[in-house]
Amino acid sequence: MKSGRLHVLLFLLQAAACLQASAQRNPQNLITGNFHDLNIEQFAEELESQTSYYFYYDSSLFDSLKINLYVEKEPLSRVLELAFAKTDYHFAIDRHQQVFLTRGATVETNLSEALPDNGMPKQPDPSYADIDNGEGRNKGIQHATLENKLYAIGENSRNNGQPGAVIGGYIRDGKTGEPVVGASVYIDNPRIGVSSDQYGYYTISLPRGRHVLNIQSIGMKDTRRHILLAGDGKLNIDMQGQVMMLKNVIISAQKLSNVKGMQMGVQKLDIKTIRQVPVVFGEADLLRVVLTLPGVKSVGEASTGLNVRGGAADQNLILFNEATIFNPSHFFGLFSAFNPEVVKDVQLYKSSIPARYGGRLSSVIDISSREGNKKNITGLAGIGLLTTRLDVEGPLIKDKSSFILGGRTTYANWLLNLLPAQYKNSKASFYDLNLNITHQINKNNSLYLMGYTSSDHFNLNSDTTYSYSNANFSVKWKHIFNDQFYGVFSTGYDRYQYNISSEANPLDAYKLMFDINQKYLKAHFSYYLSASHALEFGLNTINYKLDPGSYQPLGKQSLVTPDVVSAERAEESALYLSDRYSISSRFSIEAGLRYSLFNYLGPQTVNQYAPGLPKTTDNIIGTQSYGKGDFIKNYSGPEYRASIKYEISDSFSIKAGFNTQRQYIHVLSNTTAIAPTDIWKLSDPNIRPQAGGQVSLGLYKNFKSNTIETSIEVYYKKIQDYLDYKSGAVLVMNHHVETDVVNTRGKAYGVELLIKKNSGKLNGWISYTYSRTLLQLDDPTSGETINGGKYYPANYDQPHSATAIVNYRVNHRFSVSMNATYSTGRPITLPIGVFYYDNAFRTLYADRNAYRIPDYFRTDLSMNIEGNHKVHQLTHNSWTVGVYNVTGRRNPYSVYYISENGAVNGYKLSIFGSAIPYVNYNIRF
Amino acid sequence: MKSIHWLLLVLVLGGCKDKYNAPIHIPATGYLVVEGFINAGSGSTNITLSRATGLDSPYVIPEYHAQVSVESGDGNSYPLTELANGQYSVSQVPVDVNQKYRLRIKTTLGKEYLSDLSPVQTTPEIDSVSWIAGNDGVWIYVSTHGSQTDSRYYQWQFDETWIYHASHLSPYVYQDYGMLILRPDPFEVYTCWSSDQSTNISIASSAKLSLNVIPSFPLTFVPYSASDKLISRYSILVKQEALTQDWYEWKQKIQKNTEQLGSIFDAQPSEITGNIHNTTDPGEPVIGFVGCTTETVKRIFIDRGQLPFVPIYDPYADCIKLDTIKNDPDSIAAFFAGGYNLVVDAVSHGTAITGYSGLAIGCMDCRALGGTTTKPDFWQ
Repeated sequence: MKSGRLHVLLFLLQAAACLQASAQRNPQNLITGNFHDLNIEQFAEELESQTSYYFYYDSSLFDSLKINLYVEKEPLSRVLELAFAKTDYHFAIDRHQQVFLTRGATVETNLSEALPDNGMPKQPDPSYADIDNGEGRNKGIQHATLENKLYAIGENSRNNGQPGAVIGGYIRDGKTGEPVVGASVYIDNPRIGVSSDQYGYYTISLPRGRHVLNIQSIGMKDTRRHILLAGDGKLNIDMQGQVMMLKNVIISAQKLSNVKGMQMGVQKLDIKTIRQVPVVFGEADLLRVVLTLPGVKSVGEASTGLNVRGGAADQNLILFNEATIFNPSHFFGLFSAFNPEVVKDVQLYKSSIPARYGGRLSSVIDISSREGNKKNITGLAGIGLLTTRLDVEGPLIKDKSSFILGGRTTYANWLLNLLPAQYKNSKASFYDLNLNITHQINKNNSLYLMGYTSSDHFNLNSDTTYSYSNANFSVKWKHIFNDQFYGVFSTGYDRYQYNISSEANPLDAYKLMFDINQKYLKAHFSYYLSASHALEFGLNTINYKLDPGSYQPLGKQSLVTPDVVSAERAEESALYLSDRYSISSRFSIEAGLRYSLFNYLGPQTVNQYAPGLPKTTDNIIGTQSYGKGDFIKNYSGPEYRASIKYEISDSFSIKAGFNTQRQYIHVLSNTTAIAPTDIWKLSDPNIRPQAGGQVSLGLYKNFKSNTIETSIEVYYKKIQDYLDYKSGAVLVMNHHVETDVVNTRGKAYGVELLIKKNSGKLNGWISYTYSRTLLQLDDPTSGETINGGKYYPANYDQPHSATAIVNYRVNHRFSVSMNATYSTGRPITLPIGVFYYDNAFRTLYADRNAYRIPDYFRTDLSMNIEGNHKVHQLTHNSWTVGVYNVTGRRNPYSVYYISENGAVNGYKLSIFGSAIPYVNYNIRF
Repeated sequence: MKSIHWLLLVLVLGGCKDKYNAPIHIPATGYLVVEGFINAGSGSTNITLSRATGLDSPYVIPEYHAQVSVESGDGNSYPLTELANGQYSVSQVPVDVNQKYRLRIKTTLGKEYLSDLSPVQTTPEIDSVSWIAGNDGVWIYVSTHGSQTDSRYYQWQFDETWIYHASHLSPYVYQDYGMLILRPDPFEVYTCWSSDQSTNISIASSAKLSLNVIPSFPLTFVPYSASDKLISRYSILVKQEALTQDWYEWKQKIQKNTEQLGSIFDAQPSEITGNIHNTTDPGEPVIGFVGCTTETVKRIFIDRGQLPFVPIYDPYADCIKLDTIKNDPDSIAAFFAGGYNLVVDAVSHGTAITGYSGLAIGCMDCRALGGTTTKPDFWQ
């Protein structure tokens, strides 16, 4: 940062040219030492360590200087006089204890009046013209836009005897006014750094005095602000975005977070990264990219169900701006339901899950959307093979509020029309819509509104129609109480529903419906006590209402008997407190406690089973009815979240974590892939909540000034009461579903290696994971055991997997990306033999998941071609051209045996049987 | 429906299913397989015993010389006699609808198996067997209804029979020494009947309907282009049985395990436990579910003339290029001896027979395609 000091120096040279120089004496800052052959850096460091002075100089001017000196209890000015005697070097000391070292000429500093020896100016000095002391003009918040300006913050009189002061403020994109999330804000000496939160807000506690505040973020030019910190205050900072097309490709905000961050098992992907990874049909797909991260798997290409560190697909909390998304997929699970144009980034927590999240065992996938442009109306239109997109954003009130509206729809029907005649009437369609409104009421209050809906609809030859949809709405209010304390209050409504209908035969035409609704209220507080101590606490509550199934006649002729599985209601509440404390600059701990409480509510009629016997309809000994609002069953328990970090050096740290979770809502499924027709079930008196715990340990080492990150994480995890199904279970329209499911336990362990290069022409990551996931059902009271009560591999147990994602930027307008993935084939249940029955050979099954399908390997390529880069043209356009599965390898999705015309035939099923080329065109306006 | 989804995706996405056999060898389990039901009606009770085999060796291994008997809940026993190939039969069990029945099996290994006692189900008559001619073939449907108190679970099996004719009449037969003599009946090997049996499990339930009716359950599809079943006249005999709920669910599991796989959202194959157990080792797997029910049947015929004018697969489409053989014993012997070819007609010049036209026996003798020349009793 020496060159940074030079900037200040030059700036002050101009600014203070009329002032008179005079070195001051300071009896308290006496220097003792035997300096032998020191260069200027070593010398300045030594002096800085012995005094409270700061040195500014351009080291290149001093490269020929060697200092040899012996002094004992000499004031600084005397020491410098001696050191620079008979040289061309000069020094000047100002009243802020700043020392300017120059060659040739002396810096003039403003010291014409008598000042207290060791203090700040008591009030702003008008002659200090270019130090922008916000206190003077605009009581309160400062908007710092210039790099080379010195911003004075706080009034000295507010000094309550504390050595440090706290600055807070928003970091925004200077062009669009959008908050910059996850920006690193730090000073170099001493090393203190924080990140801005999801609203772009940061709080940092620094020693009083002069600092250079560095700000870095993804996709933004690194910037810095010179501050003179006298007391607590506010400083808003605008960052300049790099022109979209010229963007320095990957994440630079994470430079520090990997080693320095408290959390482990956290991965953040911004939309730029997501967009580079080649995917099928070229639809930038967030969940598909998450799948390339170590520790994340799925059962196959047709599923967006994620299995994080051995967890089931329903054990992920998928949050989209606070809203829970129950089914994040489109088109049979081939795409995720998030519009890439609206998404800003996604954060995956797979190990240390912050205490503010809860309700799922395995992971939290927190997706945040962008805020609209606060300055101008802009937009984007895109066209691909299967979908078309349109996004518009802009200010509602300039600089205060903005909106972003995005929509996607498909026209996949043309593909279906290529099918043989018998599928001529098939239709498949989906759409999703996003609307976000952000309003800044005043400096301490901001309001965020979000609406989201996604819908899928498909029917095959007018026979059975399937549709499902998500609908989410949330309102969030952020209030800043003071620089150290803020709160976020949110409320919202989430809904997921599906229905299946068939009109093939009017006499048994039916409609089957399922829905889940939740209303929630969350209050989250963040209290920043000091740079080394911060608290987060809050409470939240979710009110559930599920309609587990309704089977209704369709049409007048239908003979279908209406059947409704009675609605389920419950309340899930949690209270949490998390404390981050740095014992030293290298050693930090974070401990959190979340206490969750689940109440299963009436009205409901609950089956009672004979204790100690399997839950079967034969063992029902009675039923109990409960009235509206009755507390039928309460479950509660603490969840512990703890992590420690020790930094062995600036680029090397070790972290450990311990986490426990509880989950009160479950997906009931007996399919391998998570299906759109799976139903969710609340815990009730007969179905216990799931509980899980994980211990993990990680080593993080960065190389080449943090441009190469490496990490090794190991984990061991236990899952209790995971809901599995019995053989031949009926899960839909079952009035006593507890008889068809069983509580199993699981264990998972693994090691994850990641090497990531974040910047440069060539960037990307390589990951390798070894992991196992084993389940066990040996409870004799469940009525049956699986594989004789022994541990058996879960559907998604793929011991070895490796992924490489490589991007190469040939020039500013052309880049190439490659994605290669390998994994062990997933386990399947193969027939152990055949028997002849009903005029056909038929297969016989025994042990679950005893075999594996062949290994999986796929390579994808894509090219991004940008139009020209004139900033001020009306539209910018870009092309993405790529090939999914370049090698055309027929990766098996499953292997199965089926009886056809009396004989048993084995098949290997591949979702993508060849290389799939795609092209996408985007236009930005 | 699920397999249809899959097909759709295959086509849309360029996906594919390839024949595949997992490179594993699992030794045959040899589990006992018991097929059949106790006929509570006037027909015979037929039970077939066999053994499960390895996946890579699908052969029927009949279970011979077992002692099989039907037992009633009140202690009566009716032994079955062994027929060929592991089949056991008794002509009629005098069933009392208020009793429950079970099957007892003693194998030559000395093991004894017993099915659970089953209540007697009464199967309603089949209301109709109907058909609809589509663009690619004929869908055949079955409809039935029962009383509200009867079983609401049904299964069907069917036997198909169809008539077809060889490409030409066969007026001559070959005698030794290059001699041809007139066939007493030129139609002898011209008309055949072939038959086929259902190989898929067809089950349906009215449990979700307000009335105990099965309206038009699609039983089978007879394609125009892939078989000659509809080439002239076709008949289908539909057999219907009412099942108990357990029995139905057991069949449904087998159906899911063995016929409804291959989609993206496949249910995991499951272990199937029937209602037959080893009396001393209840843990021994036995495949089968023996219930007690009656059977009702219905037969329909479909004539080619009732179908739209569509091309139907003709196995004799290539039987048009006749060979001509000179009328001398050597030539006749060379062509017709050995029975690979038959005479279509004599070729005459004036009154003299100068030669014979001939065709492969596959074209001339309808039995070569697997049919029988014996007219079935029911054929009209």
